[in-house]
Amino acid sequence: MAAGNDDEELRKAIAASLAEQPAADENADIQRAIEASTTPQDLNALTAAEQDKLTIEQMNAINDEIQSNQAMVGDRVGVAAALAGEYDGNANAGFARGIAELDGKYASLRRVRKDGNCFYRGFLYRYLEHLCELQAGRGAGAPHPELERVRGVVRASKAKILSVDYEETAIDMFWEMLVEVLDDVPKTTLDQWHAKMNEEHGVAMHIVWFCRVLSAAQIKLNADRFAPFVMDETGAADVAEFCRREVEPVNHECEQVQIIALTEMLEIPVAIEYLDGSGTPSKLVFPEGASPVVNLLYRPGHYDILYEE
Amino acid sequence: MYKRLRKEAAEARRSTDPDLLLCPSEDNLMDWRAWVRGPEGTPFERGVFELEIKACGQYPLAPPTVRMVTPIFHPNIHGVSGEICLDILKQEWSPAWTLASACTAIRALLSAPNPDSPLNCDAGNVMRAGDMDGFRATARQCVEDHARGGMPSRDALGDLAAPGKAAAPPGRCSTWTAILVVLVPVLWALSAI
Repeated sequence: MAAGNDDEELRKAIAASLAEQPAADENADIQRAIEASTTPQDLNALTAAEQDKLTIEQMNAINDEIQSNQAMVGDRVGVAAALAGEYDGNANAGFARGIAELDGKYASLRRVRKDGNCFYRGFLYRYLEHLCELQAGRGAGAPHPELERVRGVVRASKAKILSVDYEETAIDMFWEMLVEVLDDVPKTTLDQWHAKMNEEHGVAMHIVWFCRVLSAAQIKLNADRFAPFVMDETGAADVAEFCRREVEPVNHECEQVQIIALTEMLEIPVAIEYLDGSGTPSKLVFPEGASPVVNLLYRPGHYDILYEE
Repeated sequence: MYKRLRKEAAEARRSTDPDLLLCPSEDNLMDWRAWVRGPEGTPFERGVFELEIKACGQYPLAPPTVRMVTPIFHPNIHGVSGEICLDILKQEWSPAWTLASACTAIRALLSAPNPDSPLNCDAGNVMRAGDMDGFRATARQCVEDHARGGMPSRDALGDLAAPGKAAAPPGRCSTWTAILVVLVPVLWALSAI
């Protein structure tokens, strides 16, 4: 994947992402909820520091509510059945047309919790689910070649991560958990995998966060290639600051740069259907030309998992 | 969680960092103490500051709670509660940080006081009024009054890390501040005359 046309691909993908209409994201939803729940008089009486604190407390409360109301990964449901209700009465008929088109193309959808981890969680869930299916097809025999491949990549990732200045003390436990999950694939049923990815405070949050480190390490290892994009988009001084502020923090939303970096690091392609009000969903594949197993649906600020059959 | 904290404890024992001393309490791996040396070239340079650190059940996915026990005159550290306003201890926390690197980030905060959105409004106001000499003088005086205990020896750590043996209670820097806040505008007005 280290071919010379990487730059060109990355540039195209970023250009496509910039062409996406900027829209409300999850954090904006949270912010709106905060504004709705606090009267202006209250806020005026507070110092800036107190307001910051209040914001953090309210965000925590809203995050707790999301945690208690939304499964980390839901059951499979029909695309139209899952989405139509959300856009009932939406003045933009483009959404309804887009949903109808996706419904014809995809058999079902799994909702992913809206906590800022949706891309990483959806990606990991679907890919590991696919691995479990592949392995189940082989019975108790030798590991599937794809399982062998990804185990090799993840085992080798630790040295790469440490080479870009992460502390072993900090990342070791997370790396070990993902290695263990992959080692366990041959004896994991789909139901067990679903349960594991829905266990609060369990392995799931740890391996989901480790995907952030994999993505950040790839960005740092290819700083020359990624720097122009991350600096343009976020004003970060360098890739290290970008990773510290935008990639590593738990619950921080994922932009296209992180997606490209993660798919490169693991060499697992991903396809994303972008649904906006324009009426026709547009599909982007990372890297271009691949045939991904992992299909995700992007609506402004959020990712869910799509299934072709 | 305990696995990670045990690793951090082992690392803290091996550390030879002259500017940071960090150790868990003897009977609880969730409670830690740290001492950071004030950075050179700042008003805090002659001081050593004690921190109280508590890891929660979600650590390291959730940040530790860190409080400065030693009284300090700094816009981003609360004069009474010792609460520290630092992004990486709040919304920008990530498990890539450790207790040691978080303490190092707090030490860096001593070099970079930010008067916007202050936790200590007195310190923030003095800085925002552009009176950096006044800020430095008050901060230095507070160091002399409260932070001259020096770095504990690594060998004596077992005792010092026990809970309840913290330094003097915080909050006394605010008296000085009050005097200064009154004095500064008065002197300013006088000089204008």
